[in-house]
Amino acid sequence: MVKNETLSAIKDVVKKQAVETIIEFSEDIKARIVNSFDLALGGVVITPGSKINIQNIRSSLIDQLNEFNYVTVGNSISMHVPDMETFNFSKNPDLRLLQAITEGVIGTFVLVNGKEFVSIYGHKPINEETLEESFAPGDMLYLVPYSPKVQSAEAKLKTKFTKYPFSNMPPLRLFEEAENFANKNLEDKLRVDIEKRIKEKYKGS
Amino acid sequence: MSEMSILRKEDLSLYSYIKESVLRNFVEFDSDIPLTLMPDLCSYDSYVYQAVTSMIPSPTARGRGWLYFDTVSSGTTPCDLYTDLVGLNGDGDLASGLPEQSNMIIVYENTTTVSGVVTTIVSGTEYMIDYVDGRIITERILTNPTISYYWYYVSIVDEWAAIQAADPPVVVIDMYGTDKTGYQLGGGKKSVRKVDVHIFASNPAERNDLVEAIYNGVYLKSCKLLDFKTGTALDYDGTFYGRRDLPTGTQDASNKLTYLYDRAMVENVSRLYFENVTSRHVNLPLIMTRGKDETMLSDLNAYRAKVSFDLYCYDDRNITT
Repeated sequence: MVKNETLSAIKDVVKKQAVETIIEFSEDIKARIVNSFDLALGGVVITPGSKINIQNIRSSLIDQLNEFNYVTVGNSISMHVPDMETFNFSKNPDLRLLQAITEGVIGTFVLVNGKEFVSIYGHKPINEETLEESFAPGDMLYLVPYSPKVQSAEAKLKTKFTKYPFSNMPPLRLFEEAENFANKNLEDKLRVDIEKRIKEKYKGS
Repeated sequence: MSEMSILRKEDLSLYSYIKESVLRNFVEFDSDIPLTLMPDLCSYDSYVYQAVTSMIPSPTARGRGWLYFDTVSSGTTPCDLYTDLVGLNGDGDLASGLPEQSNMIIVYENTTTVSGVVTTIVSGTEYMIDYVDGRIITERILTNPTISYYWYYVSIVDEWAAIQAADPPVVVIDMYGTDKTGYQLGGGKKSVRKVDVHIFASNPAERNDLVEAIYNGVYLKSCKLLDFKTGTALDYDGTFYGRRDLPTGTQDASNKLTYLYDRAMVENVSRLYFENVTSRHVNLPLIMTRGKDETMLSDLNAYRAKVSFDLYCYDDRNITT
């Protein structure tokens, strides 16, 4: 009969190994998400002077992936994989832009900053969602429909607003591949790692 | 001609299920609409009339159209609203399926007499209907014709690029991924498709209604995997399959009831089952389209939602006996 202390010790070993495996596995998850991003957006050519900087979006994505909570330890251990509901896009304008790309938009849009927005519409954005970090109006980004009003503002300001290159584009499935990978491989990896750890720990006993 | 692939049949079956069953209650009625003769499309023995309506959204916008099946009574299973009849399909072969509608569209002639305008119903055997473009094709000139019809309020399309072609509400069915695995000893496979249904509504209430209807329409449900032996219910020109080729001499009052849209299922493949159904609203905070001094007539990004699910079936076609 297994003593209670032994059972408790085995539980601790399993728990510790599961957390270690998930943390290790999360690196694969991050890599796959970044790889999906690179495959989809790596080849996008952005005109010089554009308000879109793919490298900045990529950096923001990586930072946010590093902040994501992949594992929860309580009575049970849960692994979380980022998806459109759990990933936090509200950090900065670049991540918001990434959200727009991943959701897809209908219509032709241009990107304007806060100052340009006021120049076009004569007022600040209504019902603007607060971002976690604060930005000056000149650093904010807004997608506005490329309407006749916006075109006339361009003429009046003698400028050309940045065309949103993902206008009328379907959703980009950024997290799909990583989620499938986790569904197919995590369970096996956990089993193998835990078995290995227990064998090592109790070898010869 | 090569056989339609199973993926295409699954896609069309899902489209048909969502349009004709799940969103069956999202229909509108337009009555006493004038029919205008279109001389450019007429020939010496056929006259084409177009329904002229100011309805917004347009009943004939992409993904909409007039109803081509009658009001649903009760189906054979909880997942099937329609009860199939046995008769002949559009090619004249024995089939089980659904007849063309007989009470969703009524054409009238309005004759002016000394005692006023006399309205008579034109028999359904006297004309064909182009359900996609909203037209009536007859062999004789009609007198001041008008029409009353039911039409699909929700535009259902299968590609992102087509969304802008219609006013909301628009629903896009996007089947984007496939995974096939074995499921038993001795052959056969389980085929799983990933599906997103994107909803673009004109206000929050409409969005919520559509999300709920679609979610409930697929949660713990299944639909037929149709074989499309004679194609889809509507032919390439928008007429009910087989109607155009029916010789005039054989047309009688019952022809609509004996000419069926063949709803045979694909042999040796199961029904299509839905699982892992989820829904969420889609908000894009970066998009600013509602300036107080600028009204967007068609703000498709404003009220969006997405219903996602896996669609699976068991395919035993490769098992030889």
